[in-house]
Formats: sequence, structure tokens, C-alpha cells
Amino acid sequence: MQDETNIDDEGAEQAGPLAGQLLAEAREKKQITITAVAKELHIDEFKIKALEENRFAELGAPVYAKGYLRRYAEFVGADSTQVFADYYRLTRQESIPAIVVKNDIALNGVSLSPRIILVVLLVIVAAVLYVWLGRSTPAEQIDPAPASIVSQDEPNRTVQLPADEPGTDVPQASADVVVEEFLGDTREPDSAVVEPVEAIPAPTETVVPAGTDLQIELTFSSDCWTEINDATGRALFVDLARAGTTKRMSGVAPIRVLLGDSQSVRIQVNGRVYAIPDESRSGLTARFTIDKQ
Amino acid sequence: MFKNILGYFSNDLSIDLGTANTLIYSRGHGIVLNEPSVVAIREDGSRGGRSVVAVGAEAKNMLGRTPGNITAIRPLKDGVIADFTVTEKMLQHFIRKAHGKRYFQPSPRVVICVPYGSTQVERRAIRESAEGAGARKVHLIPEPMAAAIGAGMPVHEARGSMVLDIGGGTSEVAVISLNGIVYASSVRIGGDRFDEAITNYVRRNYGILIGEATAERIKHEIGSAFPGQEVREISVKGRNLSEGVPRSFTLNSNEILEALQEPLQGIVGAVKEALEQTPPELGADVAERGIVLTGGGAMLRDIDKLLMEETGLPVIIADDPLTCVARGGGRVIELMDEHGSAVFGLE
Repeated sequence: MQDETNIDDEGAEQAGPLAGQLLAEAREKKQITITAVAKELHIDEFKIKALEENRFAELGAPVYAKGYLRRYAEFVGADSTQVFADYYRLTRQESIPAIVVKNDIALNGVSLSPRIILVVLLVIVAAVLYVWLGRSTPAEQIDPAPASIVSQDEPNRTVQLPADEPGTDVPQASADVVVEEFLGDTREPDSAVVEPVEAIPAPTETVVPAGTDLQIELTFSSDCWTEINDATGRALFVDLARAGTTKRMSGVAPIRVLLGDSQSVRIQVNGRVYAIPDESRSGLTARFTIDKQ
Repeated sequence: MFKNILGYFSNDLSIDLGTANTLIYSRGHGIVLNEPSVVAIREDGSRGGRSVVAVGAEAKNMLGRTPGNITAIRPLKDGVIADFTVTEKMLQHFIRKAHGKRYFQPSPRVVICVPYGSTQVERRAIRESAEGAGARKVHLIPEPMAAAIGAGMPVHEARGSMVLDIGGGTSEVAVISLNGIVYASSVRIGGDRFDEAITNYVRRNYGILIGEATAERIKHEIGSAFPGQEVREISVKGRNLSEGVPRSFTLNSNEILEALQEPLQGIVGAVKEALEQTPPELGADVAERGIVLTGGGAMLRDIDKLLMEETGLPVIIADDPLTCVARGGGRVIELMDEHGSAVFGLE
């Protein structure tokens, strides 16, 4: 609030009288003495001289200097508009800001920032939800797996052997080795016991050992020449499949596939959608091998 | 909690909740609202409820011209709240209007200027009214302090500065030094009393009844506080009390000067009392630099001359006196962020 500035000497050197000098001229024209002005304005004579010589800093805060100038201009009949224009130029002081009566201040960009903030907040909330849901889903899948291991007598025993019974003749094998041993038995009728163990690294049937049967289902949306042979060389299906039909077959992995119109075929392997590798395509034709996934 | 979140989307406001006009200064935007403190209320006879019809300038145009079920009222009297509910509604409307069209209801931090002479109960009513209108934090500042800051007076100096704020309901005079009020007094005389005095004068001398709006127009156009060389005239219409019919008549500035003598003397008396009560060192500072006039009443013609003649001191009218209080409050918000709310003894 106390930003009184000093007189701008460069401005004072401009041609013609400025501010206080205009007042002094008007006073002299009317043949009024400084003493008479001081008496009329109820201020000291040295302040009148300071006004006339544009030494406004000596008058204190700008509110006083402007008040004296206004009263002085009225008294001597000078043009107060010109006096104040000079005053603001000399002191490099902004005139008071105009009253903003318009009420649409929100339209000049101020309302934009809350909008941006809102959008950013929404994005953050969405990101947090995404991460949270992404984390919670695997947790739910993994949790039952250890329980199933514990419930299975045989795997549990073999996995715990290295720690609990070091004296037995089972070597210090890791859990992975033990799992591998069990994988070899999957073709045996007791495969139901193995499946939960498989669920530990990746649930369900995602890991199928080489040489096992693969269930393949092909759904055709248009006519397509199809050749499917399994690892044993057996032709599972060699024919023109008609549009709208679905073919199911099983064979030993890896299974070689040739599709005349690969875009019209939807493939499911062991109940899961199988995406035809892009590199296997040559035009519409696709040649690829479905291995253990 | 919710108000705090909404606060991020709101501008800090300084409100001069005046008897005649309410002004709102928005930080970074300046004075964004200047409207009469008038609310038009519709009485719903069948349901027994009340609803707001208009607020501000629109409602002021209805003053004295409303049908039976609508009342245009001024919810503040003598600078303090006379009707709490209506004041709250009015503030709510003004705060929303000052914020423009937003998606959220504004919840600003607010500095409200209150008369120095207001009681604790009156201050509490103003605070609660502002909180009810959506403000998340309300600070109260004495009007003369806000007026002095808004006028650009050097309140922080160890020198006495005297300010006279003539509002619609009250006039406040204060001597300020080192960011504090050394002496202050408040008289319940302001622009409203001037209008009332004009109405009474016309009724007494002409036997004619005029309305509030007419009295205010007379004051604005030919009102004067000191005899001048020029005599101005105005033609007005009012109801002749003996005949009961509207009549036109002419008033001149000398008559209005006579009519205003009583309230003007009340203000002059308050200033003289303040000068008497001011400690001598500060009184000497005031005598050297003068008294600064703010408020709408400072726009009454030649009121500075009257005070100058009566006190023998220089009297200065601040730039844009009507908005000084609101601008001062706005400056206080800025200073509050820099120095904390204790700097001006804010409540």
C-alpha cells in the first residue's frame, strides 16, 4: 500500500508544465499567493511548494498527494484531469483499477483450471482403480492353489520331504523337480490330482506337456479348406469346411494346421481362444503349428 | 471437509456488507459485484412460506412499488443484520454471482467488514450468515481499518492516520497507527439518515410525502453539505398529504443543505470527539496530513469542505470512495497470506 514512487526526472524535462507546475501557473494567473492557497487547503506552505515542484514523495502516501492536488486544482480552477494524468505519469503509478461489474469472470479462463483439475482427478482415480483391480484378481486365483496342494496327500508329502525327512533316499530336489516328476505321470488315470499342482504357476490348463492330447475346436464363418495333422502324422481333418459349421477334434501336440481362409476361422484350443500367429499368414492362407501353450 | 475441497475451486472474497450496497472484491479480479442490499420476498399465502423473487438492483427497483404479496426489504439496518434468513439468502446469491457460472457451489474464504461499534451478537450473526451462504472460512475486520487500507493510507507507519467512512447505515471514524486502531467510534448516521432527513423536510415544509427512492435521487442530484455559489434545482413528484393526490414540486440545493444539517452535524460531532480523544502525538500527525474520507457518503457534494471548515484540518476524499472498504478487505486477504491472520487482529 505504501508504494509512493519518486519523481521521474525524465518526465519533468518534457516540454510544457506538468501537474504541480500547471497548478502554479493557474495560481499566478489568478494572482493568488502560496500563503492564501495554504490557508484555503489547511496545509503547510512547504507542502504547497512541494506540490508545485512535483516533489510528491515529500507529501507522504499517494492518497494525501492526490487529495491535495485535487483540492488545489479545484481552488485555482485548473484542469484536474490533466493534472492527474501528469501525476500518474510522473509517479508511474497505476490509476485505480476500474470496477468490474460484469459477472462472467468465470469465462475468461479461470473456470478452465478446475475443469483440468477435475479431469486429472478422474484419470488418477481410474488409474488407481485399474491397478487395484489388477492386483486383486491374481491374488484371488493364487489363494486356492496352496490350499489345494495341502489337501493333496502325495504332492504334499513329496514337496515337504527335503525339509522334513532329510534322511530319506529322495534327493534334495527342488519343488520344481518334484512337479516335473508329476508332470510325467499326467497321462496316468490319476491326472485329477495333478491339475491343482499345475495351478500354482498358472492356473487351469495353460501348461500342457508335449505329447499330450489337445482339444481343438474350429468355427468357420465362411467356406475354408482345412488340413489338420497331429504329431503322430494322423490326419485329423482334411476337407473343405463349410460356413457356419464347427469342427471338434483332438490329437497329440504339436498339431500342424493349414487354413485356406484363415480370417474366417475361430480356433479354440482346450476351450481357450487361440490367436493365429501373424507371421504364419500368407495372404488369406495360414500355416502354423499348435504346440503346447 | 467437502467445503475445503470446493474451496480449491473458489476465489477468496472480500465483502463490504453494507446497509445500502454490498460490494464484493474477488482476489485477482477486483470489484466484481456492486449491488444494492435489497431483497424482494414473495409471501406465499396458501403454504405460508417465503421465497426470494429478486436480489440486488432488480429488487431495488421494486422498493415501494410492490404488490401485496411481494415485499422489497433491506435486510441490514444500521450496518448490522436485521433479518438473518434474508441476509443469508442475499449473501448466497451475491457469492454465486461473484463467482460466475461454475459447476460447483462456491465455498470461498471470506473477509467481511463489520461496523466498529457492532456488538458480539451482531458480529456472530454476520459470521453465521456468511457461513450459511457457503463460505468455508470467515474473517471479520473492522470497517474503518478496511477503509483505510483500501484508501491506500500508510496504516503500518508509527504515525496517526485518521479515516472517516460514511456508509449507508453508519459513519465510522478511526485513528490508526501501526496496523491497529488507536481510537474509533461509530455513529448510526449515514446515507439512509440523509434520505430520511430529506423525506422529513419535504413532508414538513411542503406537506408532500416522497418515497425512499425519490429521496435518494434528490440527494444524489442536488444534495450538498456546504453552501456553494451555484444553486441547483430538481423537480420531483410526491403525494400531497392534504389533497391525497400526487403533485409535482421543485426543490433547490439550499433547501437540501438545510434538511441535511442534523445528520451532518452528527458526523461532524463524531469527528471532533475523535480528535479530542486522540493522543496528542497522533493528533499532531492527523493535523499535519489530514482526514481521509471514504464510503458512499463521501460523494455528497462539498462534505470535505464542511469538515475542513469545522475541524480546520485538511480533508481528502479517497479515490473511488465507495469501493474502499471492499478493496481494503481484498488487500487484507493478500496480507493475511503473507503475514498470517494476526496482522490486523482479525477475528
